[in-house]
Amino acid sequence: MTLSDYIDRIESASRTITVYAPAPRPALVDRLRRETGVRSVDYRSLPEMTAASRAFLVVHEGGEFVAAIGLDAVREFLEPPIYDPWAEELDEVPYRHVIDVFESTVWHTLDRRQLLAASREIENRAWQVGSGTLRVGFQRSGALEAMAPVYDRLAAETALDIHVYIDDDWARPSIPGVTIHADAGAEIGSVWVLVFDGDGDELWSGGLLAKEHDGGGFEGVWVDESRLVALLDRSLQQSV
Amino acid sequence: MDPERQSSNGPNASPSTIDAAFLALRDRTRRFVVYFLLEHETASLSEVADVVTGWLHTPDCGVIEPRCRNTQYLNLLHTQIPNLVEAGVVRHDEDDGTLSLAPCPAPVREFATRACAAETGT
Repeated sequence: MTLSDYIDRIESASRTITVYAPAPRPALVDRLRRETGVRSVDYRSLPEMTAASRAFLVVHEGGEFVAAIGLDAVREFLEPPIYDPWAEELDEVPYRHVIDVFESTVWHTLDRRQLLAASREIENRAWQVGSGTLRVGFQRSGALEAMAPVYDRLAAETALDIHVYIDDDWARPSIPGVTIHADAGAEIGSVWVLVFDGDGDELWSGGLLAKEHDGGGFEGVWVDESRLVALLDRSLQQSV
Repeated sequence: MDPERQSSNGPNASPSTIDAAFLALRDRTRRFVVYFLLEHETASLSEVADVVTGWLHTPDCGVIEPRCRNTQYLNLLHTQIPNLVEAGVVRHDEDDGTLSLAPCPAPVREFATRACAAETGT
């Protein structure tokens, strides 16, 4: 299976979102409808005297409660702050809850900043485990060049087996501890992909795949379930 | 005539009725149930469990997982809702699983409205 087929294989979950807030939040509701691929996003009022900071949303799947998240965390994920994979601040950032809750949900529209935040989640796991295999598709050499200091440190300070893939040539010095697969195929040029195998521990494995739209922006999904992570790992290796 | 029944707050506003209601509302979870019903009058027990859990805990916990919500659902079903029903503040239609605000005395609604502003306004 190729990477292009992978997103289509993720069954779209029958999720619903209900936003509870003291006043309607049409802009947020519209964005969630447009970007998350969740079909039903509704609003229910809380009493008007409630502070806006206490607003939250509830996610259901097939009628079952999945999670409630504070709207501040949701808003933060729409324009997330970016930290290094080893930054201690990552343990505290509220948007991590959003990444957890929307695992295995195909987002129709993600921008580079959101993808970078979701990527940091996987790189942070790899950093914490410190061993296992991390595979990353960078599309083009320019993107890898921008991230070279991060991957230099990841390789230098862990026992991770790191493989990176680019669609074009790599004319710069090699990065110690990082295997660079240049000219890895046209498909690599159109996707943003990361897979970490958790060094065999299902609790730490994770994957992210996003496909660039023709007009910019990405359609993407991140997965925690070991079967889906393994499938993404195989698809990546078959694509190059 | 019983002087308690001459109150301007209607026939139900006897001191014992208000005692019972205020005693029920000394509990934070029960107050949040009433706050949501003040807004919507009627809601399913399932939604009230979602809302009370999210409203009470997302400011501190960020995310609420199913285990926490389901524990709250059982707590409401077996303990808190029967208490509110007993106190005459809430009605529970067990056939369709809905909760609604009972026609409780005006002072009880007023107290709940003020408490809601004080407790959820910041």
